[in-house]
Amino acid sequence: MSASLPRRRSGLRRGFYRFRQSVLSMAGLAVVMVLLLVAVCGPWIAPYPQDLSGAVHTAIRFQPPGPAHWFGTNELGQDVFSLVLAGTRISLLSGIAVVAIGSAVGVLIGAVAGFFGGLIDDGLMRLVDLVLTIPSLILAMAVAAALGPGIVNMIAAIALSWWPGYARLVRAEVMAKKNEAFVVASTAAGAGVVRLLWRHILPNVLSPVIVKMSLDVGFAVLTVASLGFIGIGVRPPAAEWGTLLAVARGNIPDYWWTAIFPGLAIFLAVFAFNLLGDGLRDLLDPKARR
Amino acid sequence: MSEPLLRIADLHLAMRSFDGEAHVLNGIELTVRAGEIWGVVGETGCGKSLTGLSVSRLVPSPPARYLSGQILLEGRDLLRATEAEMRALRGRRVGMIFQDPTTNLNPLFSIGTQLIDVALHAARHSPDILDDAPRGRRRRAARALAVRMLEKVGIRDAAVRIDDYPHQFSGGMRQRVLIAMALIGRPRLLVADEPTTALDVSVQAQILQLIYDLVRERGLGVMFITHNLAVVAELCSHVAVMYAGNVVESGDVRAVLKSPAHPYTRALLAAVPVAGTRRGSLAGLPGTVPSLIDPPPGCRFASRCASAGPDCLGGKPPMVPLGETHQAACLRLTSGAG
Amino acid sequence: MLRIENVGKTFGGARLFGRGKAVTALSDVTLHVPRGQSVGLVGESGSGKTTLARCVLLLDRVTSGRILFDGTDLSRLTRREMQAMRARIQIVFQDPYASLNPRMTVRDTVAEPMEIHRHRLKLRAGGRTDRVVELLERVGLAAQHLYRFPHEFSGGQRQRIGIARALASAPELLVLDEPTSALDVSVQAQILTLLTDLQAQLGLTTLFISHDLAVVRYICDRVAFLHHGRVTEEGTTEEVFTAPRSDYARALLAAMPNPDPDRSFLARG
Repeated sequence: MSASLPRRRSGLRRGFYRFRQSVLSMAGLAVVMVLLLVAVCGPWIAPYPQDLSGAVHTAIRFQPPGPAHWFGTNELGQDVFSLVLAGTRISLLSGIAVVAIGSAVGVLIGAVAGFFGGLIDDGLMRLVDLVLTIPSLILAMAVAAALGPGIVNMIAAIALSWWPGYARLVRAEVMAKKNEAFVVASTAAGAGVVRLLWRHILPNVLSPVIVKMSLDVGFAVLTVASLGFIGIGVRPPAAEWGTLLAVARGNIPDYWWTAIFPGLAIFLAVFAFNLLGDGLRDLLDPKARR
Repeated sequence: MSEPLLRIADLHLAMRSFDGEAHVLNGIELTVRAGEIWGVVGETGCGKSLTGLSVSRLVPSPPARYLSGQILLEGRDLLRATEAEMRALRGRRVGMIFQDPTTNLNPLFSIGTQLIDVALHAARHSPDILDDAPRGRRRRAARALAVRMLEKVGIRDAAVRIDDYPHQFSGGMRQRVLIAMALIGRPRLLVADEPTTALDVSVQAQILQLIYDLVRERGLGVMFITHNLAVVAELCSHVAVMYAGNVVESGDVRAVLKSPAHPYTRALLAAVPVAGTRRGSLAGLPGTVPSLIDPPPGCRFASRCASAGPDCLGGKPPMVPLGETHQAACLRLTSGAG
Repeated sequence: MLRIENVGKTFGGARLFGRGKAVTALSDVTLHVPRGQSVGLVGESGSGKTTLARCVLLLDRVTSGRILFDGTDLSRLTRREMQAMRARIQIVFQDPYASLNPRMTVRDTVAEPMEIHRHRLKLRAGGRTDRVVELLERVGLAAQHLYRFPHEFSGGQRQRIGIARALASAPELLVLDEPTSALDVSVQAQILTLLTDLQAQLGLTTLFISHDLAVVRYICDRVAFLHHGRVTEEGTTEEVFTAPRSDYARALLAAMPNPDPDRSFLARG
């Protein structure tokens, strides 16, 4: 009976309305905004910028959290708060980069497979299955072993194992959309493959992709941290949450603050992106609401 | 005249939405007696389905909210019944069939299982449905009844087909199964919401015939909701024409369709092509249904009505009796003969 | 104009792994749509009417027989010729909600066929917008609707947009696939009136696919009944509706409900 209203408002505006109604989604959005802000200007707002370039203050090793050092200091006397702030940039941006590369590759492959079907589809999907059988951490370790550790290699390695999820999602969506009447109409009007995919199909499958991307950034951050933790990602002194955690591992339980704050940062980032993703799902993809 | 099976009196329903609260039913009046088939016609959004669902109180609330009025089923006000009482009434006093026979059957269970469940549920409140079978024999009795019902609605080899699953039936056959399911609890009133809209014409004709025969045989009262005036003319004994949450004209089907009095009924009939309609002479209805969130005062049809005047906006026009059952709500009733 | 000669269409059959069962959707269908006329194609679900429409629109290839458009055999076209042919045959769909891209404005939707066929139509971008406005006005909408999205329109308005899009490449043949069956009767009447007006103004030839006999009788000059992939009856609308020759047509006509209560086929007590 929804059609009883002759002028229905845009679905997106309804979505925003629902999004604003949801405290958790708004909280997720707020935290993500703060994290992004910190990622951009973290090194400049850090209270002890010299600590970020490797300054050592042996006199103030392992200071507990206090007014001078909110998160305390580590084994080198460096300010943990400054390190966590600075780490946001690498952790978050590499997480976002992984998702950006993974989704770009995945969308392309999924769209081609779903649109053409047949042998192309079979071939590409077996490739997807193959990649999915390789555990992402092991793959990343292998890449790091072959190409050497470093941020770029790490991002490439994680992205390599990240795209199949997008490929599967997009393939299924494209297959469903390519038989919609508006796509048939465009085909009957003489539209070519590029026009059909680019103007008609992809804009209409983007919503679930955006939702998945937002959910995935959290997990990508986690994966980046894991690689940092096992020592094949970012190397100290470059501050990164996983690396900070790895170094601090030896200091707990006595000097818990060196580990708990980077850990909390990871938790916060993963949690916030998940909340945001759930909120976006309500906004963009109302049918998938649970 | 007999005691009415169903009497809906001054029913007002509001529906909350993103844009505000819409006043979707604005004082519905409808009386259905045993043996009568009432066609409830109107266009998308006129409230006909909500009226039908209200009889089983299946309108989710919230977002819906009954503002006032009564729905009397055999003298008992359903709007004041508890949910437990309603559960006992559904299927046993009111049977319902819907438009899409596919989504209204569970694909995971055989139709027999689904029919038996409904029969057992109904028998909990009126054991005579299963001829007062003792507890241990109820399921067997229910199965026998299900077979009889399937035969009744025209399913051949019912004793065998009862164990088939919904996907093994065609659309028309599924609708027959749903009719069997709606009637297995021996309701006196049947509410059918667009039951033939999804079907081909030849199958539609069979289903209409089936409903017609069942009504004659069992003395059912039927509320047949449809947008198709031709189907109403075919099947119904009475008709209520709805527009924007109001019944604007009602009465004996011949009286209403042969000499329509309300401008909306006339417009609706003029929009249906018939054998003699010359090409180009079909008249559409200009304009759109007004917003029900903040509806204009007075007659809701006034904005699209050719004969509307300033007085039409003064208040809701009262029902004017025109014949034994025929009545219409309009200040400018054209003489029926037109 | 359009000649469908002994067309057959089979789906399935040989597959990469194993063999599927072949399904015959059309067999030996012959139908002629004369220029400037409106031919109705009536059939119930599964009769093959949609398959036939897809073959005419070059979306599916026929298995046997041939379809001639203006003397050209559609199945022998090269890619380039097929592309050009698509400007000349257009379609309006049944469901006005599914047939418009929800993320494209009215302007872009209606202008798309002009963009695709820009070399043939010789319209620049600005000229295309002017032409969109002209088309919108022709179907009863206005320039103010240019930059709105489909969800802002009612079903009837969307169907008008669909018709404007179909007219954008100046086609000679319009396939109308149940264009009014998803609409309310008052809106259906408006769309039918629009279609008859357009046909008179533009001299269009139309193939009107429908299961609604009353609508077909109202709008078509000739009519063909399709049953299980075969044409069971074909003739002028008047002939077929007043004196049907095949059993199928007679049965279907008898089952058609009539808005006159006195002509009900159900026995009245």
